[in-house]
Amino acid sequence: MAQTLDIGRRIELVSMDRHFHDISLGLYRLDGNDGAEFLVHSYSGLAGVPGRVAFVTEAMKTMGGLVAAENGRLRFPCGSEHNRGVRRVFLDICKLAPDEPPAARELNVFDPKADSTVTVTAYAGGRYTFAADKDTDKSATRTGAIANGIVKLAETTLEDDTTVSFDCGHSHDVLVAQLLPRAINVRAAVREQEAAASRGVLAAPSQQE
Amino acid sequence: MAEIGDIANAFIRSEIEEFLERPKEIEHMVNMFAASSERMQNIAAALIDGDNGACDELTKGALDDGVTALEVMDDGLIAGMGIVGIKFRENFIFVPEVLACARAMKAGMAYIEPILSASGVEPIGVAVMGTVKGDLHDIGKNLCIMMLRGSGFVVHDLGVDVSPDDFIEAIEEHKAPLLGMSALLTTTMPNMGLTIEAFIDEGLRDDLRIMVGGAPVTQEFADDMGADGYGKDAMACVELARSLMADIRAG
Amino acid sequence: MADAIKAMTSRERVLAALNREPVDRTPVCNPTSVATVELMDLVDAPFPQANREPELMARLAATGYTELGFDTIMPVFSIIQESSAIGCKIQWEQKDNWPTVKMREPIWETADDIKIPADLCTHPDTKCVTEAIKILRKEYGDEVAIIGKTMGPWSMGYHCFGVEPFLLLSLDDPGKTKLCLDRMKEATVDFGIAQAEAGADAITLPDHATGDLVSGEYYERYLRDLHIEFAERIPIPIILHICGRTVDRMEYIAQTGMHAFHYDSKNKPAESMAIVGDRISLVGNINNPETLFSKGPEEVSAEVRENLEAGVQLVGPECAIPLQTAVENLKAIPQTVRDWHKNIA
Repeated sequence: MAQTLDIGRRIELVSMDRHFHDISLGLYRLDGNDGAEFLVHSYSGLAGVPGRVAFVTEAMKTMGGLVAAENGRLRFPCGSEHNRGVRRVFLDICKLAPDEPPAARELNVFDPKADSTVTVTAYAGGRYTFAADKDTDKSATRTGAIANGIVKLAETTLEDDTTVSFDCGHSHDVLVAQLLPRAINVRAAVREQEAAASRGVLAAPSQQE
Repeated sequence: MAEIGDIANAFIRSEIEEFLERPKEIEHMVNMFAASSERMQNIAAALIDGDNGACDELTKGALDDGVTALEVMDDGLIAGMGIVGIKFRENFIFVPEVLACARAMKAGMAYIEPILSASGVEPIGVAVMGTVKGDLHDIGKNLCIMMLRGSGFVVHDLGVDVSPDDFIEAIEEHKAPLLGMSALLTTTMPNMGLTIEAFIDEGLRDDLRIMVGGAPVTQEFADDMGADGYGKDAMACVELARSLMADIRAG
Repeated sequence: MADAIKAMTSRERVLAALNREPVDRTPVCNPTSVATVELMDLVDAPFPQANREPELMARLAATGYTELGFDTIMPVFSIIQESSAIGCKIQWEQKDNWPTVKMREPIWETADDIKIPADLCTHPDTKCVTEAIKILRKEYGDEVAIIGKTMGPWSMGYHCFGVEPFLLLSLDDPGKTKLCLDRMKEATVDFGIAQAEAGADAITLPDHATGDLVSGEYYERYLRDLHIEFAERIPIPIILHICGRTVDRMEYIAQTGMHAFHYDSKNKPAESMAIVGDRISLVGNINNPETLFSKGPEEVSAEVRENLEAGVQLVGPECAIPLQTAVENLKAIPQTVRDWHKNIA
């Protein structure tokens, strides 16, 4: 009898969970009554797997801002998918050792490249502004790069150089905080910034393609 | 603008006429070979023909007669590999022929490299290349390395099954600004992302340009994992490497 | 017409399609691996052990039929079994990666070095395959087609001589190259026959003279006649497998008398069918890295339909699937085939 399940579409996979007998752990996306829902699932039948799945599921709430839905599933309160963000949170959590208690991050991050701390302020409607604690050219550039990093990682919209917003119009403080450390190194975001900055600039013939 | 008749070596003329189709490439090759000596054209012809014996002899002969190592490398060997690269790209030749040409290039470079190292001449670029951890396939990587060396890059080949730590160690040791990673299996592709993260954790990412390639790798995957570029084949790898080096120099 | 044919078993369907005879519906065929890490977990048969222990090999392979709904079971997930038996050094890797031959440490340099051991088919890694086939035959009877795998001499050349040395030899000394192939071919035949005797219904024969590495003319020069010989000597249908762009050699492949050609997504179904005509069946050609691994069931379905509409006789992935492929993408293949046939009935 078939044992594979119809549990939606798998959007992320840890093929060997180093913290639990190298089992595979999948994050599945399904359609719930109120939007996108997610399920952490492993096909392994080893003893203790349900406990590991439960750990990861609970941690998704703490570190990603998801809430419980029916049947062990999870959802964002807004019902949206936030595909990139939820996958990144899942992967980060699977790196946690079982004895490492999941904890939500703060809405700030130290940027070593600008030697400054960037703080994110949440506003209504899912808007977030980014500001550095130093007022230098480098920190201004880097703050913009970090905002662009969140654009890429959380699929938000860039409203201006230092303001992003979620299209769903809802707050996702925990998710943004979790993604911040990675946002300081998103090179593609930097490249996009540079491309945007160079639009409309006449290039010398030797610099043109 | 030179004309094809200005090229003394008949084999080179026929290679250009038979295998080059893009006008800009034809113009570039004609100008380049017409400006070089017949002696250099003969070296290039030997390389294109995959004749490592002739390439060895002609390179040594030229150096013994006082031709500079740089001229032999640029106008003889690299010029020849330029034609080889185009023929490979257009499927006129395949991997066995490219291997033979690379073997010929290696024979010539055996004389050139010590001279250039001693004189402190800067190469076009320095790269570290390897196949990622868990992956033992290297033919694609090796073709890229051959083409890069054939274009004047110094390449440090780490081989296969290379861990992130080994990549980091090599970049630091050789002070290379360019890293190339290859993977042939979808199972090992994620190790590219892990390696990039390792460089980020070490604070080395900013000074480095990372290019990736391999049969299952795509531009989308390369972008997602934070690489600076993706090369779909050996010739694209060379173009990408050149552009990334220009990026580095521009600061 | 398909709907005038009574319902067939999976095995009947596959054998009919390999012979280009009428079928009740297009079979979903897996001539290479459909193992995934999730299926390994499901039946507790992880790599690398599933490549080395017959019970695990059989148990994991069976999921292609019992879980995914394919019409075939193919237990030889990797391409290293006989190379291991011959003496190549193998990197066995772990659960989420393939065992691979250490081709940078080749075991042969010249034709005189070639030795096919007498115990080729009883070495633990080759015997694992024949034992797994026996287990599957016993378990599933005549219900499902069991497909074995034997590596061709060109691929064996890569494994035993190293890729670059072997390719350089092919250019430097065609006569020596042919001699090497002739000596290695006996391993292909012996292992193929052993699997037929163990109960395999058909055999995949990977021989990687791929368009990414060598010209179509190379196939004609070095391999076509050998493949004709294999078709004569191996007593069960052969499914030739060559990766990459191969339209330039499909004409030669169609001349060999082999039953089927497992072709890669770099070749379009319609153009491939136009070349081979009714001389050889095609198996394929759903893209692995970009579709099965990276996209979803809808994209998989589209590629299945393209094959069905072109008249490809057996549909399946283009090669051994990525180990992280999602189950729902694989299930989409037989589901699409069933839906397509319902719609055209």
